[in-house]
Amino acid sequence: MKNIIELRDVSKLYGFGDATTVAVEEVSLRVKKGEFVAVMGPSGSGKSTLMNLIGLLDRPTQGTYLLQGKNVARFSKWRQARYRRDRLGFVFQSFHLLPSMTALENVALPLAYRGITQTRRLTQAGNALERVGLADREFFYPKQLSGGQLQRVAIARAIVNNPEVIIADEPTGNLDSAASRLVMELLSDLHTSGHTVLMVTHNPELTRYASRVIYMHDGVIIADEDSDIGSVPTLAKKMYFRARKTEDDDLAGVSALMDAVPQKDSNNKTKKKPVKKRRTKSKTKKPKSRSTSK
Amino acid sequence: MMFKNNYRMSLNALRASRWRSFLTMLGVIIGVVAVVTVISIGEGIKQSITTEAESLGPSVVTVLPGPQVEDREDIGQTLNPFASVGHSLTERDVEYIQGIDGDIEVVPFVRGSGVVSTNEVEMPGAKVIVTEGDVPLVLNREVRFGTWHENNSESGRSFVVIGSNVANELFNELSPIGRSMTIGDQSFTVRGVFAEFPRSPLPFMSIDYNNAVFVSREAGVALSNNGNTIFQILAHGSDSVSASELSSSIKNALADGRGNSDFAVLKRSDMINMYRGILNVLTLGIAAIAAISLFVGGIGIMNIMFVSVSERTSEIGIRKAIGATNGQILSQFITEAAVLSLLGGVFGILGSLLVNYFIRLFTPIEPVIVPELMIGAVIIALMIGVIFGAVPAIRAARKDPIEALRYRI
Ligand SMILES: Nc1ncnc2c1ncn2[C@@H]1O[C@H](COP(=O)(O)OP(=O)(O)OP(=O)(O)O)[C@@H](O)[C@H]1O
Ligand SMILES: [Mg+2]
Repeated sequence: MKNIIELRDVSKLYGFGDATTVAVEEVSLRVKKGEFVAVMGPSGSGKSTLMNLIGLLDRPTQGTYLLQGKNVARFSKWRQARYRRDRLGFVFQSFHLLPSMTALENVALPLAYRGITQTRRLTQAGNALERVGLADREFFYPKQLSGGQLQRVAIARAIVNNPEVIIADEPTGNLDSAASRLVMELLSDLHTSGHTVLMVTHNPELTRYASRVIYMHDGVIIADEDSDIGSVPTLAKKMYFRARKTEDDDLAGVSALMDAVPQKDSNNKTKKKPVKKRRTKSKTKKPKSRSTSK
Repeated sequence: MMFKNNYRMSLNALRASRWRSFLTMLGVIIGVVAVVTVISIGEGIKQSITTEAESLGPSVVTVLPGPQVEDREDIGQTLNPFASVGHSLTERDVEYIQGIDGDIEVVPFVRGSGVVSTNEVEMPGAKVIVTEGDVPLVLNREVRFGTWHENNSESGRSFVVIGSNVANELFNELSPIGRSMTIGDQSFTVRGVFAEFPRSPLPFMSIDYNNAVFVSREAGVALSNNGNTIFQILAHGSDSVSASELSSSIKNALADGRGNSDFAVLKRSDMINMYRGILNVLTLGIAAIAAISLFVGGIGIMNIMFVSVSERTSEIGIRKAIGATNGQILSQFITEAAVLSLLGGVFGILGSLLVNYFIRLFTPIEPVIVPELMIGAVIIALMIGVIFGAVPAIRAARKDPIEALRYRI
């Protein structure tokens, strides 16, 4: 099958001189049409940056990005906006719905930028809401909806233009396990119906829905494994018990990952023995309660 | 299509912060009220002056003392009967005009002095005009009650014809005909009352004949202490002579006779044009000052649009993420500013209608809002929105989507 996304040595640098941060470093990645790729990695490893690059919200500092064979990174802002509108759908951790609009209007918004008449917009938006099971919430405002419902509205908005690629950056990051499952099932449905899905998550459990898992660290993809739908792949399993609560725990998560993947870097050979026993309590599939203090 | 969406979106956004929108609009509203009211007052005065001048009849030529000035600043001087100090018309001028071939009715106006009163009431505002000839003809107004005085002091009594205001003030609801009144210490009998003259709201521009008492020259000698100082001569030609022919032959006759050009000869259309000229300058001057408030209103819009753009940073990020182009964001915010300002303009016109209503109620001025003025006000309001909304809208359009998405208030 053809590669829908192809990154060749893509880097993204922030800042100048001494203050330069390499958020993504010479990443090469190929994603085939219809894949469900989960992206994992510790905080600050460049997952969101990578998603923004793929989603054409940002431009790589270096490297080539082909979307459906087109060198989109070099497109004008205007053409990139057209691509976002027609071929890409976004789902964000904090939903990002417009508070002044009803669920239906929010979902219809991408269609407005295509110049579709209002009646057709609202019909299509209504269908999308039905698809995420919120047909009865059309005229609710975001403040009248629960987190899980908000994220389903956001998914409806992402799919209303029937995009090839859906990019979800920690879509369940603010949700409890029940709401997360609903959202994941929706994403899984989209995957099944042929959409390509890229999803960032900190929850290894959610890799069950993915056909492939990518692990990032310090802006580099350090591992890439295929995954059977319905099971957590081996590397993710290693991180299973590392649901973190504090920054210390974050470090534990990193070391767990470093333990899990085969090391290329000789410096990182020192195998840390993180306090595995301490975490036994959180064996239950506890959703992440990461404090989003960025 | 896109415009319709933008329009709808901006109405929603404005409705979301109703009070703020209204306060922002207030700047434009006040500016539009000020400018529209000033111009409509000017237009109203222009129209009533035109009516007044037209009431003279098309074939009347007015001769005034003082040189004929084309320069607008001095036109007021030329037309102001009280400003003709140092310049004068005399009986000789009347004769020069009467000397012209053809059937010309010549009516000189001499200012009389003395307080107008009856036994009961005094009317200090009344003007005494000592005159001769067919005044109803040259003023194009009939004597409604009684008759014009031809043979004036029959049986030793002196007659006057009065304007309608004088009749009202001195005699109230009584019929004035045949009643006596005094000017200074001389007593007169009222022989007629003029039908009401249309009058301009700026009385200093010309005499309000409704406040005038017309005295014949024989009877008024004592009232016009220097009886040969004429402040205005009206000449009415025969129907076969056009006003411009009449005016140029009067000009020639006076220039030949006097040997100078210290007089002005004005056709009706000259008078109208001059008054309009003065009023245009005046109105535009005041309107320009009033327009400063429009500018301030525009700055208010710019200010609020900056606030709005920064408050809605995350909205901008969302819109860009789902495919809005920079141009679409730009037009969204410009439309919003334009709608805000346009609504201000519409409310401003309504406000000005209200102000004009009160002006009509409490002053003799009748402001007129012509359609062009309304359309102009709407267009200017729209332009203010677009111009002052442009910079904030550009800022909105240039926002980086990622930073905008990350933005938290
Ligand atoms: N606008 C920016 N300016 C400077 N540095 C940035 C900027 N955006 C991201 N970075 C840096 O790039 C790196 C990667 O950030 P990114 O947000 O992609 O991480 P992440 O993997 O998504 O983390 P998290 O799991 O916490 O969301 C971080 O070190 C971050 O500090
Ligand atoms: Mg992130």
